[in-house]
Amino acid sequence: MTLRRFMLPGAALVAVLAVLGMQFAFGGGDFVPSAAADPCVERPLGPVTTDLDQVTQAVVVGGVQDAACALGTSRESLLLALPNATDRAALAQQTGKTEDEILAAVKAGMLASVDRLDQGGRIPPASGLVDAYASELGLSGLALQAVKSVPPEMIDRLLPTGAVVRRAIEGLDLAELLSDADGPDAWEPALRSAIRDAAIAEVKEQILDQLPSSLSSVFGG
Amino acid sequence: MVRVLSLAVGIVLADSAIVTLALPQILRELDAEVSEVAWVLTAYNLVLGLAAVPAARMSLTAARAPLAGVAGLIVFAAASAACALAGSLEMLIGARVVQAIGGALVITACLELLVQATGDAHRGAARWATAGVIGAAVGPVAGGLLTEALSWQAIFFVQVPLVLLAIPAAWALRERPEDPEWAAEAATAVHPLQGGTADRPRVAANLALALLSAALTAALFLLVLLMIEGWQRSPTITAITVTVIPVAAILSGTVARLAQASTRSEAVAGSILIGGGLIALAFLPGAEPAWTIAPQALIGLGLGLTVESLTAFALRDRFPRALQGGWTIASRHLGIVVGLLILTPIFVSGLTDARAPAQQAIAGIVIDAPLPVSTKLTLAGELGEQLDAERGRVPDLAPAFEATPIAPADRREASALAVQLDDQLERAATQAFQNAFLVAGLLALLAIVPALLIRDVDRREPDDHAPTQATPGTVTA
Repeated sequence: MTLRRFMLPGAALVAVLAVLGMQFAFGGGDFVPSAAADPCVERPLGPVTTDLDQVTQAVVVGGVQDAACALGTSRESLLLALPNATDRAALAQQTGKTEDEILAAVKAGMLASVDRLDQGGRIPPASGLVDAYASELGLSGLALQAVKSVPPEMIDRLLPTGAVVRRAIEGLDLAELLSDADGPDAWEPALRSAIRDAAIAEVKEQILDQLPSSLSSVFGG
Repeated sequence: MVRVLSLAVGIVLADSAIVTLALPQILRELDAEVSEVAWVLTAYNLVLGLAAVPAARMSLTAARAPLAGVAGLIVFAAASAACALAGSLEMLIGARVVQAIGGALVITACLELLVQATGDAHRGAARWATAGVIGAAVGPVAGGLLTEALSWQAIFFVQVPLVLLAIPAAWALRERPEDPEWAAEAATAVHPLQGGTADRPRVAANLALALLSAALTAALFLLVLLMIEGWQRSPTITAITVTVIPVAAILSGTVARLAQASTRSEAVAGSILIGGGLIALAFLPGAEPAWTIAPQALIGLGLGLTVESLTAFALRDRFPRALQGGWTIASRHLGIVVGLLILTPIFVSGLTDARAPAQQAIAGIVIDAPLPVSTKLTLAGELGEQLDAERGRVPDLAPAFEATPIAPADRREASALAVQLDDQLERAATQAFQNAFLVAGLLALLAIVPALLIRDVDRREPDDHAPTQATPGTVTA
């Protein structure tokens, strides 16, 4: 082949390399879905908030992340698998754990998440959450007025938020919650109910703790 | 006369890919799946490929070519009308099969008819090859514009009067005095009908055409599906975007004239350009149509450099012409079928494989979105339903957001979330097509092997073999 015969194929090759080079320079090959974040890398705690909704989210997301790290999967895979029995079974097989162990890991993760948030000062005192608690407990009118007239220090002593959330998590039956036919729509009422029950139980326990032991036994302490 | 016959050739070959841009609309209207709807393309190309050589045998004499052409035009027009009226995917595919049989008759007869109409064997064959290249390149664009302006049925309705225009021209050629070339061929008894032996087809050129056609299918079929189904772009935007291929194919004529290269150099260069363009489509940096322009330009230049010159080379000094033309059509369209059969499962499995990473990415973004828990839970449920309902397609997430009650204060965050999720879907769709584009690129690069076996002659040099000197049965790579 003379040089002339190589010219056109050579020019074609140069044009192809130029286009490919330009594409790779602008991120060609990296235009793929975002990879799941490593669940074992600790994320910064969110801002201080008095919004119970945000606190709940932080607890759940942190808990799922801890559980995913413990189970050797991503938090996204774990969250996608949790609502569906078939996906849970597949995840159990993939991680080499039983479904009960997976749910136990989620619960342990949420408790660890509460501890972390509490230590980081991200769980607001109950006095800052009076309206939210009142809403969960169904208080209104005079009852709400009465609660609001209680000094903040007393509210914080009677309703330590971290303890209430911990108690709510411990009281949650995750297996039952996840098997609810209504799926995610049923979770929010169940979580609210768990927090309400935990708040009532915590108040009761704190009051009983404050009473002399003779009276405490009368009220069932 | 030459124009209407060229138009008929262009339409028959345009039909090979004309419905590409209409496939998403056909997919929805006829309630089909991607793998099923691909048969609207596959059936036509398969039957055209299989019928081309037998159809060519009906045009081996000057008297027969006009009759075969007219019969083919009538069958093609009737089948096109049936395609437009099809109410189910099965009916549409059936009509496409008949359309391809008519198309095979038209395309092979028109090679002889164009030679007769131009009065020059090389000019007629060149006109035939050029009409085919232009038809194949312009087909998807025309189909896309008709689909967007009217409907997918319009693609087929429009063809009916256009191909019928060629009937008087074909019929008139019955009266033409016999071409001296025909007489010469008859004298050397090369007509199989007259007991002679036909030249063997040029295998290397036809094999290169088959491999390049397989790869070019990917350029049109996959790119269009990626843009419409994956990136949710309109058929009009897609049609405008893919005009880059025919425009570049036309410009390649200038490149070829400047380079003054041989058929072999053009075929090798074209294969590199088509292969490189397809590989570039596998590594797009974004989901903007603009990113496809440079890869398409490479493909268009490659198309212009290869298909026309390889077809002309395959026909040069080979007799009977119609039969040689039949072999090139068979090679090209069976190549397209092989391409579709190889590439369809690859990109369908790519779509399936892309689902998990897309779901994970979507879940991660929803988890971290600054929205209330109740909104996120409802949205997650709705998104899950949309993803489950995809049936092998890229899901549309807008209904999930429409079905989720979102407080006015959260609407800005929800809109930002929708944009982020769409971006993830576009990324997943682009990734889903990656392997198919890479395999198509390899098919094009494989064409370099037969291209290197082509006798290295300047395609513009005067023919060194007068028709009467052609040796029957000569085997040339």
